[in-house]
Amino acid sequence: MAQAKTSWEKLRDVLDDAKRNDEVSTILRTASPSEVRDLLLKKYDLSADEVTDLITEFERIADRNSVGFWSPIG
Amino acid sequence: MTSSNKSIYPIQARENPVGWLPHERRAVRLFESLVTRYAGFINGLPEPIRSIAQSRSAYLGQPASAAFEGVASLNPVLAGTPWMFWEEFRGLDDERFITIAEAGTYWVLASIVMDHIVDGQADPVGEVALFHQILQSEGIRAFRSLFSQASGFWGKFDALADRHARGLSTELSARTARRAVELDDLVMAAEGKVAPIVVTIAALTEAHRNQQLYDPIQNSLKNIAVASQLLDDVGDWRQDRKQGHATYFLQLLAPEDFGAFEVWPEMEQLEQINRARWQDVESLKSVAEWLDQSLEAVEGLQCTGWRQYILDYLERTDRHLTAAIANHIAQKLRDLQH
Repeated sequence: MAQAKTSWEKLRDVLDDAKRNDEVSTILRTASPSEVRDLLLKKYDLSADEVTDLITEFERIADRNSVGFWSPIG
Repeated sequence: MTSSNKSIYPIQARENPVGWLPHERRAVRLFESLVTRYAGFINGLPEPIRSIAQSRSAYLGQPASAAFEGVASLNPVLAGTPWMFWEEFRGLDDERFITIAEAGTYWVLASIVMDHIVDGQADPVGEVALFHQILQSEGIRAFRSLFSQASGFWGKFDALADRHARGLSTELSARTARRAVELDDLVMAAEGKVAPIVVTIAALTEAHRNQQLYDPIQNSLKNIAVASQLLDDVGDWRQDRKQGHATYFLQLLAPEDFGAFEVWPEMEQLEQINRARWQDVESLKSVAEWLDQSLEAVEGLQCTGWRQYILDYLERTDRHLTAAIANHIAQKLRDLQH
């Protein structure tokens, strides 16, 4: 029996699909916020609480300042 | 999922990759020799140029009080190029290999310093301009010691110097001339900026009598330069908008009926377009495609270090892409909470 996915595995699935799956990417980009929430609930088996936590987690990823740009030094 | 302060998303930051320098003892010894030679060059400079050359800000183009920590602290594509293609050029004797690396370092660093002068970031500009001239003269002197006047190297050198000047001119023109910025402008500016690094490859292939390597390596460098320029423009677009620096990415973001940068769109208008189109995400995907082409250009060549450098760049781009997508999704979901 397949093990249930952890929350971060689901989150990674969302991000991977947003990069590579045109259908998912189009929905995320063009659908209304409630439609996006429905997609996350149904397709990725996330609970309503997990979606709330997801917002915080996405904000963390977006704010993470560990990625530098090209620099002559470094 | 947790709401604690500790993130549960395990992105591994991998800064300062060192995979480009071969482990082979001779390669390490030659690189150490380059470090020593450049330090000796700096120490031999007259004041106040020596102080400029010893400061990190001269190379960085930003105010920085810290001291320059030597050639080993530079981005490896500037001075480490011969080692990135070590397997292909290791057949050169020590003196020729190190002299090409040294000449290339002076020439490339001269172009970096010139970039900062053109961007208005050099301070104090007079001293930095003089440092540029000294670097350039040292580079030419070293190349002259290697290649006779009749050598095919000089034809490539002239063409690359011309491309460098044209590239910088294109960037200035696109930035200030209140005209549409096209992909061709981005490509020409990027190819111009990388041209001084290609000079080192021209010297290596000429000295090694291995001309067939020149085109693939040059193409790989051109592609990574375009990727790098576009990545920077995506990352800096808000700052560029504030400073009135027209870029290709800002042109992509601009409203449909917006022909040129005669009147700038408002920041909020650009933010809205980016939210609707995910233009940053689309452009970051383009960056990855340019990097893929850079990798393809050197297919079949023995260049472990260079491949590692491109792969690292791809990984870095993917992290930018992840962050951009996460930001868009978070913004959309946040609207549900309001």
